Amino acid sequence: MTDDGSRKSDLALVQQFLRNRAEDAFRALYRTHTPALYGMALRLTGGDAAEAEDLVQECWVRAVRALGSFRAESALRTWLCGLLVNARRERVRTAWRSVDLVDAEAPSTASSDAWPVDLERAITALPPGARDVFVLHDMYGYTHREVAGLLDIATGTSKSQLTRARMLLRTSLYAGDRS
Amino acid sequence: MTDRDELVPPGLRDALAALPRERDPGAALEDRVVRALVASGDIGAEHAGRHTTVFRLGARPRQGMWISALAATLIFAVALSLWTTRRRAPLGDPYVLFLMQDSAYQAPPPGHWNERVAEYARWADSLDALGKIDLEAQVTGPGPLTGMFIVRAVSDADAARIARSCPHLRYGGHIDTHRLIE
Repeated sequence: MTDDGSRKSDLALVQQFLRNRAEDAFRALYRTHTPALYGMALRLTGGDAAEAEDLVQECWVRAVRALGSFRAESALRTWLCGLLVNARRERVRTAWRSVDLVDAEAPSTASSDAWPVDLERAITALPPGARDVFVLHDMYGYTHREVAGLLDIATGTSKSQLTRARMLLRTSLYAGDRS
Repeated sequence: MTDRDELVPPGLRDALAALPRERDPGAALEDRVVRALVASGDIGAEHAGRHTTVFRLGARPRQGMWISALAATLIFAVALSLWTTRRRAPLGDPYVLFLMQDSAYQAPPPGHWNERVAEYARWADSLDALGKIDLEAQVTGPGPLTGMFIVRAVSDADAARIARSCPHLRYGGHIDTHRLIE
């Protein structure tokens, strides 16, 4: 389905839900977008399934209460992902501020032959602040300005966190090749 | 991909692009989300009564993750004892609201607990004025359970509405609501 087609389909689902807020209409919305939300939640939480599930639930609670104001100026999935990241930010706000990136350990080393698995592990092992920026920027295509807005950090911080995340990943993955 | 792409070799870039973006969390989460939304009245209002013998508002509790429970318990106990001097005849069936909190609970800054308690007290007072709260409520702890209120509601939906009005949810806590059998 094209982006335009997907957007129309989303809008139709939203309008159908808003007509009477029926459970079936909600389930249709949920099933369309939850795999993407859960995938992002797992990455942001470093693979913590329980935390990821809580985030997805919180995201949908917020979404259902705000869907009436959704104007389709952005794709529904982008809007939902924004809610998810906001929920994540609020849940761990204090923890993020206490993250000491200097002392954070680099990911474990791995050979590029095993990248599909080890890359997942390496991303999971990134320090939380760097991982969040890396996931949003390099995996989900957000710009630094968008990342900064979502995570409530400065654009410069987003850039430096991304550079750090990439260096950590590269170091860990290529260290395996050199050894 | 931008911003010093030289830090991301082509092989790594390809591997990143190939990683799955979607994961299926399973049907259990879907049912859990739907139950929470029905219980809170956000969806399927016509079905709300089916699920409210025992229901939960707010985020799911996580074992072993709770903060400030003991301090909050003591404060609630004091606050509740003050309310007992202003009892009114309750109306409706009794429901017990268990106020729970875990690491997601947004505790007030140090020195501001009194303001938080006063907010909860205003909420209880508003119910008291309507004859919708029993003030013999006991408080237990420590643990993820912060406090407990016994309220009077004419239906499960009414109990859910009362629970939703509690400021506890606004601070990331959750409330388990149970209908009492007299």
